[in-house]
Amino acid sequence: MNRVWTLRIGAAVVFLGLWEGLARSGLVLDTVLPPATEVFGRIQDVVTQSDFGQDVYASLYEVVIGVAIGALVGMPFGAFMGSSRYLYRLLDPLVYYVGAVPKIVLFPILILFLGTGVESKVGIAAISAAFPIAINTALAVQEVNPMHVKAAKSLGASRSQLYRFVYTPAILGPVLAGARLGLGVAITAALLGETKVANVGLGFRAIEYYSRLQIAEMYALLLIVFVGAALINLGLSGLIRRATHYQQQRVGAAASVA
Amino acid sequence: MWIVRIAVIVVFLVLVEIAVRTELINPFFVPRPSEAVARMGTRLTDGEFLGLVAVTLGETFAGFALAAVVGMVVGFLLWRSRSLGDAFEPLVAALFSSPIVLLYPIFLVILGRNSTAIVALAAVFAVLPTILFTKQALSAVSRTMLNVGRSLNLSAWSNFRHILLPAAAPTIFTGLRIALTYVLIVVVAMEYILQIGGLGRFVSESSLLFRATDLYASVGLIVIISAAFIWAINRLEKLVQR
Amino acid sequence: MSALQHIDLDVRKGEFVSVVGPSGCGKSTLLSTVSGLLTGFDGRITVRGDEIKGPHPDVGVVFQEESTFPWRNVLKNVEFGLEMRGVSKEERRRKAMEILTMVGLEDFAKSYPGHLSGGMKQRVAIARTLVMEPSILLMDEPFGALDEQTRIILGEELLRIQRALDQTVLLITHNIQEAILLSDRVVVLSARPGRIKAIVDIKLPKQRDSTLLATDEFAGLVGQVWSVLREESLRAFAQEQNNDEETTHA
Repeated sequence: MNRVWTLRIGAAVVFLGLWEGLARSGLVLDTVLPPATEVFGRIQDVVTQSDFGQDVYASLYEVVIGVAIGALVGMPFGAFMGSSRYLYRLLDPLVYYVGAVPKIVLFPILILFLGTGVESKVGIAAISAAFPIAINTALAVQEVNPMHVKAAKSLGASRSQLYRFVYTPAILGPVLAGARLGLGVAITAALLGETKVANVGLGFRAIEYYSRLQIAEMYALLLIVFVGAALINLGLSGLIRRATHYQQQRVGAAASVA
Repeated sequence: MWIVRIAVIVVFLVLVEIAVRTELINPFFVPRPSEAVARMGTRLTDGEFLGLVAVTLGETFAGFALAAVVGMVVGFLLWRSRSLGDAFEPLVAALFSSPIVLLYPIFLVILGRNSTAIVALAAVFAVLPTILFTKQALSAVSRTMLNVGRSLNLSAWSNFRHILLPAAAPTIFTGLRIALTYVLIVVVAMEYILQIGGLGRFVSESSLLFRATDLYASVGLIVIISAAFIWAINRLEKLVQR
Repeated sequence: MSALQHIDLDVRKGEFVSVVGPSGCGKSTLLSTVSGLLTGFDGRITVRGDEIKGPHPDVGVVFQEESTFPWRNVLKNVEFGLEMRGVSKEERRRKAMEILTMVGLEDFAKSYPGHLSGGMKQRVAIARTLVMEPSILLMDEPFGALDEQTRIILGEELLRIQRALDQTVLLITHNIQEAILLSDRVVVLSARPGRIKAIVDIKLPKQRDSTLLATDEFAGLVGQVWSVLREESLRAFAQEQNNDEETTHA
């Protein structure tokens, strides 16, 4: 086995060992740090709970619909913003500064409009996702290499051919990268919203476990959420890499928390 | 340019004002922008509110200081040892794009429902960009720069102090700026969710008590304060990097 | 495959020697070994009888890539080596200004490299090396990134300084005119692995400038160097294509 994996596995073993040892030593309360083995054991309990399917569905629904709306708003807005040098210079700082604000504080306003159900979580996910998507789309459109456009024009490309064969492949990578960032923040935003005001969803369930002092279950559920989000992110990165194998990944700055 | 930008914002607010006055938007949900702006003004001169701002900024700086110190040391170690870097840099990058904030109940369980938990969570999140940027900044120092030092037979310390560090500083500083931004975001978000601490708590309380004007005014102030804060650190970065 | 083979070259004190060769022939490797930055090869390199085992204080190096420190102004860039050696502030300031005047940058002492053109930055890098008063100057395509005119002017300047300080110079370049114009001898390396293919003596007057470029004598020398170099360049070109094929098939 090579050195890198030895180190990684070694670190994982040390981490889990410390966790287990500390939890079993009696130095910390069971309600603070349940042993790793217990947490892993509870994964099955958590997954087989009657509400689990409903919670997963609600959270996925909020995230997917939220990102879709965020993209529907963010991409055209980004394209508009990136379409001229002036608009870009005018709007970029505004979008940048508002984008760097914790969007979750808009949640109470969304609750006013959309109620305490899934809709307000869809809303907060959509707003969170729209920013990185818009910023990346605008940047992508701005940074289409003018030489490529000139070259294609001189080779006789029509306007529609220009869009299809030059602009689209040029902006695809950054736009998809923006969508991936958007998905990441949407997950955080929706689930964070659920922990605040909701009656269904994975975030809601985690807080339920917390307030009922079912700490091992809470750890297990958060572990599931964390690994799930990581897998989604990883899968998406892979897809994007395959779709845009011809260009380097360049991602505009965008806060990846809600 | 800022005049046009402000004009864009003002036009937007005027449109909302008209919509609210004509009851195109339900005034029960949205207060008049003029009222909300006036409330922002009174809040900003109100000592109690400024106390909340101080609490939020205090938590932010505490979280940032932790993240900066730990992050730069870890980043240095990942650069120093090639195998450590190869093994853990991808892990740090993966964690950076994961929903760390969702782990907050664990921080509550371990540290209690208080500012310490918020500061710790923010620091854990912000340490990640600090590590990544420090490591990448050091790795990116050009061989030629280092060869200049070698050709002058510099000691390891001189080389670090006079070439490596200044060459890496701009990128490290960018990492610190990003970390500081994230700390602020996490702090305000958690204050809101947990309803403890400063600005975030104020938003949560306003919404709970259904004070629409206060709610909008405080959200507006958070936008302005975070924007001002981020503007300030961007300026600082530019100043330092010339 | 090793980058260099059977290189046996003596450079006399005060001599200006250029090394030309096809791309990838190991020109830069040769310079790295002489500068002591590259160790662990078979062979011996000596400076006045001392074997080179690491960077030698009498040897100054000017690099091909951008190497001025963007965080120091021009003056502080030039002072760098002296500062590291612990030379007093007044003395290093005086020496640095002297050299800056020599390369014509005295008015830019307080500027930062980021505000200078490529040619000026390279002059700063040269000044930074010269201020250490190395008796031997190694230069790895120092004008590689510059345009033709700047290149010729800076070359003349370099020649003037070299004569004034009586330095020994080893210059790596891919530019034949530059090599001939500046050198007492031009060494032509073969395609990889680099060996000495030919050494051309440049019998031009000691005092020279770029007006020589137009003379028949100069053209004859260019032809002489190119005839050797052409064959090697073609071989290097073929090698490169083979390598490309190997990597695409791998």
